[in-house]
Amino acid sequence: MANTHHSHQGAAATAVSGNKFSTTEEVDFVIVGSGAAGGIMAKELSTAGFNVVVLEQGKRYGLGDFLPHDEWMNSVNQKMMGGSLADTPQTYRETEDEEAKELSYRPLMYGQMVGGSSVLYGANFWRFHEVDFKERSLLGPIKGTGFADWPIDYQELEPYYTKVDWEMGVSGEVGPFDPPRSKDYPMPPLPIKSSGVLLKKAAEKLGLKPFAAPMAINSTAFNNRAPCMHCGFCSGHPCEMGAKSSSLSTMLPLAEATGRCEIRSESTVFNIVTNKQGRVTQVQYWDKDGNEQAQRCKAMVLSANGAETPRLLLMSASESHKNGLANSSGLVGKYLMLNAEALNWGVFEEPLNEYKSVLTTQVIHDFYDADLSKGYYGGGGIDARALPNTPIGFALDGLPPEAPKWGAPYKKMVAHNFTRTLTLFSHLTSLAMERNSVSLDPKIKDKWGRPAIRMTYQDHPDDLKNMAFFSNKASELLDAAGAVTQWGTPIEPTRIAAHLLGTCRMGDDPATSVVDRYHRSHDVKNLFICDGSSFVTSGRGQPTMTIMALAFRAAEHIVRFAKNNDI
Amino acid sequence: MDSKQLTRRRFMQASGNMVGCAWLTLSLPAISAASQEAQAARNNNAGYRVLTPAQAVAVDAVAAQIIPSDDSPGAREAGVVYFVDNVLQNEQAHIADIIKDGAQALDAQAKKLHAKVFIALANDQQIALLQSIETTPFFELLRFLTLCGMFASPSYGGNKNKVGWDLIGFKDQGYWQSPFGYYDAQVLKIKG
Repeated sequence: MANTHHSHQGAAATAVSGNKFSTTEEVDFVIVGSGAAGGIMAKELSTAGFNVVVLEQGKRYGLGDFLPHDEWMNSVNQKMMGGSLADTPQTYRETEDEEAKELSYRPLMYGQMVGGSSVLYGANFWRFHEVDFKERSLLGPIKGTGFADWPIDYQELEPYYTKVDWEMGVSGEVGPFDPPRSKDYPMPPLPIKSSGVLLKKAAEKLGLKPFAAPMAINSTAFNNRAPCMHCGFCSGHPCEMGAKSSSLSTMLPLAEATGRCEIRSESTVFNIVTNKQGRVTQVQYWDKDGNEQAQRCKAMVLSANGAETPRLLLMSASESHKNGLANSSGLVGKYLMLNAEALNWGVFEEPLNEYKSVLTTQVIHDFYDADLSKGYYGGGGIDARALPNTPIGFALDGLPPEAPKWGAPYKKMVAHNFTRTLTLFSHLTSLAMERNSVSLDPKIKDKWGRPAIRMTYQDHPDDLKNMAFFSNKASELLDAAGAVTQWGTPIEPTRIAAHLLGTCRMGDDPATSVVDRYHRSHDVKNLFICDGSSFVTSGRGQPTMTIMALAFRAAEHIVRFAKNNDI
Repeated sequence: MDSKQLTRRRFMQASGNMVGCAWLTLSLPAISAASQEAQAARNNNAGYRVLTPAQAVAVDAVAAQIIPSDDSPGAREAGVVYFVDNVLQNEQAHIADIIKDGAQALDAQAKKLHAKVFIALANDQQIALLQSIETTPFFELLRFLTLCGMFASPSYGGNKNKVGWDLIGFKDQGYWQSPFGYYDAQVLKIKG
């Protein structure tokens, strides 16, 4: 980035009233996406003195728009996740030799609003453990996979996890399996729910070590934000209190307060323009009226999530980048990982009332590490909650598979079970495989004419073995907890996910990765990519805390590069 | 202090440490005009907007079999048919034809079998007929809409007087305090 140093000195002067920048002005950074990573990037780069335009395809909502609680709009009609399937279709296939088809749902779920998925997440905030970054070295290769070490380790990321704890706001207490931390949690855990009491009791009976779930939700007033009111509308719902630590309630207001950050909502990016020198010069998008616009910039940060980021790079193919931008490795969109899941339900004698308060309050990590003596690779954690814990979701999906579907027996069962149901949710590893990908559908287009996101995904056999292991453990736990009846979902291939990982993986070798250890793309010097797509391994679910830690770390390096004219 | 007796606003003031309550007043106009219309239509027994009167009668009768009225209110008392009519004009417009055509086909089938429209059949005849169409898109979608209408916010026209929520023991109170359920209350009792 030539002259960054100077432009950053004069940054405040170039910002016009209300943080508006002209599209013809060459801003220091365009950030695509305003979610978990984009929000942190916006805050860090603008507070460091740079001019920033954030392009976000979704609408902007205020906290006042989040009442009344609205399961019909948010969950059923996915108003904040792309709305109707016809407008933002996706296609799915298991293997590359099939033709991908549209399903009755979008297989890759993410928020489309200012704040992105961080506004809608359940706020489980597990740090990765030390092993997550170096399992390939510890365990050896796994045939047919891209199992690899990360180019960075836990120690390097630890200060940024702590930054997430304190700048975003995380409630919790140190658990028995936690990696070392430089600072305690800023807030105590949220109060334990019945699901937590039952999991704790059962786990202790089996000799395991349960602990309080770390959550990105305020248990006390913190950083000028309200504490949680325990309303119960968390996962899939925005928080009207701003007590959930989303980008919308934490980072984006700080970015805008600098006077150097404009968040341009309903701006749908469709192309990244590069010049003959191979540098990004501008980002093309449609504004909310459908008019084509282009924002000039000195550098770009792509934080659009593990599905949208590779789509945009692939769509930005040109004469000099025939396979898509930043794709000399051919790995943009490849190595998609989702976090496999196992779900087990139990019905208890007395009401748990899981419709109240946060998603989950107790977790077990006793089976976190992979143990190859089991005969396969895989690990994970288990939390206790009710899934779904809201009325429509429960009425549609909360009863056992053999339950009556309608009529008086159905009515009786749904009335009895709603307050008495507990779900043990196992959050598991997914192995990185090149055959699993996000790519451009050759036929189906979204309402703007962009190719639909095409998901190709088939779990590794070890992922399925791991699901079965956890399902059995959960079943033992439900027995130990005293469930009157219990059932589990059958072990079957993963066809839906909200954890979108690995599609622009990080590494030192440009032949086997898309971004370097600082999230700079190997091919395009002034293009940085930071979101779930950077992941090398999947971890055990709950990736958002790591996405945010990566973003804080990447932003620090990007600021350093920019100030040294090294962009 | 019994938290249940507090209004949300009073609870917020009482809970202290509150910052930036401006959102509360901002939220007041949040119920959309469409939802208000849906409520008004139901309350005034106004005409349906998507369903014909005959289709509405059939939809109401099927919904009343999916969640029957017995010792507690069912889909009929919840006004599910008004919810269905509302959402077929709005968020679920793409399935309107399946529901409308299906309702007519159901009456035609009832006439063919028993020489009466669906609603005029005996209870066991209605159940038998619905069992025979259980896997059709019409029945599956109407079951889906019935459950949604029973348990969605009343602002969309169903769940009248929150009878759906009362049925399952759900309260959209907006705030709660620990203990939340039986098992965490037991722990607090032992400790306390």
